[in-house]
Amino acid sequence: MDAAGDDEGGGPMTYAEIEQYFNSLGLEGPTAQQRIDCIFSIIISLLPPRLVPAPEAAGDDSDDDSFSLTSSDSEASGSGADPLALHPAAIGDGTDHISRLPDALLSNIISRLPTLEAARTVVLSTRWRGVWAATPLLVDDAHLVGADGPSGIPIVRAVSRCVAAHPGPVRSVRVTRVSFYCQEYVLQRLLADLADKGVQDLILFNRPWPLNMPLPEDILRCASLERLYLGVWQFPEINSAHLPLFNKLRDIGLFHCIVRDESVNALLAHCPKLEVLSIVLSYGSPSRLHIVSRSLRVAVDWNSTLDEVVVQDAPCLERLILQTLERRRPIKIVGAPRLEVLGFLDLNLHELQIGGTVIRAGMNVRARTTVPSLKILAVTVHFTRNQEAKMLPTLFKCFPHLEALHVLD
Amino acid sequence: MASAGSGDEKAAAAAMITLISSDNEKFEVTEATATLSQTIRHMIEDGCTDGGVPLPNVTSKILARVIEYCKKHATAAAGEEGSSSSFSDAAFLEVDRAFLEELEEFDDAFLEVDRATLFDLILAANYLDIKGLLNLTCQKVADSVKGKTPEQIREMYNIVNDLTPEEEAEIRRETQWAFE
Repeated sequence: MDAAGDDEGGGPMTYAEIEQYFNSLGLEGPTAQQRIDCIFSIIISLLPPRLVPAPEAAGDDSDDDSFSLTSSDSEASGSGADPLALHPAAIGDGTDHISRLPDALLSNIISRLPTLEAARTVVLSTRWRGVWAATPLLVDDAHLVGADGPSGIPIVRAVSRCVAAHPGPVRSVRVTRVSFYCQEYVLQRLLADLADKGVQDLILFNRPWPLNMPLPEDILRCASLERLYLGVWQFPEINSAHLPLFNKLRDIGLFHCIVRDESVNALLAHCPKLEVLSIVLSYGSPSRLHIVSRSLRVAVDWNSTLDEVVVQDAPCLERLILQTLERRRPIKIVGAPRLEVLGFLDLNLHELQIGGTVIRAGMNVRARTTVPSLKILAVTVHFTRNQEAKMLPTLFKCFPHLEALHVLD
Repeated sequence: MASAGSGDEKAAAAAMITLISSDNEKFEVTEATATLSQTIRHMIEDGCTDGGVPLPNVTSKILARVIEYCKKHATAAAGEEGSSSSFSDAAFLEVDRAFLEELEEFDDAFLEVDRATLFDLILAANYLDIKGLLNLTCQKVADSVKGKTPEQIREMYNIVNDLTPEEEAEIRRETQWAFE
């Protein structure tokens, strides 16, 4: 493991933790930077699709649009025609058809363009200038790469500037390609502007290093958020002064973030519309997922190092999805009257508890140790281990209305 | 049709809606087809559809195209309703995928229209509040201007630039981030 010591990024403090973790996995070869890049690309791949595809193959993400200055669509203009050439048939009657549309529809069309092209419609005419000013802004840093080159710093500024400059609201911002290291001021401005301009959909990732970059508290002021995916941040502490919190938030993903248990609990308790919580690749913090929520429908843990998962009181929870590294932990189901999907339950790693009782092979199953709502169960069984194989009949009793069972050996 | 039992006939008749275009042409459609339009759905809910639904903003030529779209997609919507309650079923997903592909092909072919018709369809989809059709047609326009400079877009769509050079310079300054 010589690579670790002379890594060029040398992120502070947590670098040691990560190095230790990598070492504990017994991996050999690649540098910590390569490893973190690999992890980063994996977690990026788990993100929801972008709203508007990037205009050119600007990098790593899968972008389906190929870019060309002259050709593009096979538009109404007629097959293979070059739209730049004069071709009366395409231009048709010479009427400005597009301006027949009301402003809201012009905004609708603008919202389907990559960030820079959308903004450039501002100079089409007086009317389009007004339409642009009222069109909710969509920013995707993949759309800005072409303009500012591949280096990180100008893109950070470009994102911050376009948010600051837009006279109208900001609907959606996706930033996954930049490092905010040494950009604290820009980051602070950006989040303050996003809060002020009512951002609804935010995907904000910090390219390591460091791994513990503090996310400014302004994030907690973004009251219009409906979807929030954060990657590689230290999440701010939530206290009573921040309440009410994210009144409209439905979907939150914390990817490789350092979040205190109390903050996760506060999110669950104080986001009245929260339906989906995903915790992805978290190390150490949060240490415990304790679900008490009136609205949550889906909880996901993907390869985090949680010590315990407790579904305490979740009247709406339908799916509990777990993907666990080699860490033993209890899974406790206390109050989940509508839980329909549970997986992957690993009979080696997970100690299942229902209603306060540890489920053991062959035990006498009572009503309070059942989850009658469960329909789909995915379970990892090592059939060579006798005890695990014997658990299956007991599980059938615990989940009496199971419709589908997926078994992984 | 005549051979259908009287009960069936009655049910079928009850579920038919008459749409009347601006040039007074009548179109008989099923309720399932008509209610892809939220506007018409609300009229049905309010019981305002006896004697037909007048659509003064839509010509018969455009309405015929809109109905063609709605018929195809109403079948799709019915299929979705049937499968949405169960979480995952490989067989369902297979069927869905094949059907979605067919639907995409239909949509692509549907968009092969001249520009005037395309914009008429957008306006009709907006007026009738048919979300899928509005998305489809607006996306078509957006795709047509992707990768083009403002000058090229003006030329393509005959947009008259009424900005003075000073105004245009000012706008470019205000939106500098997009023009450098």
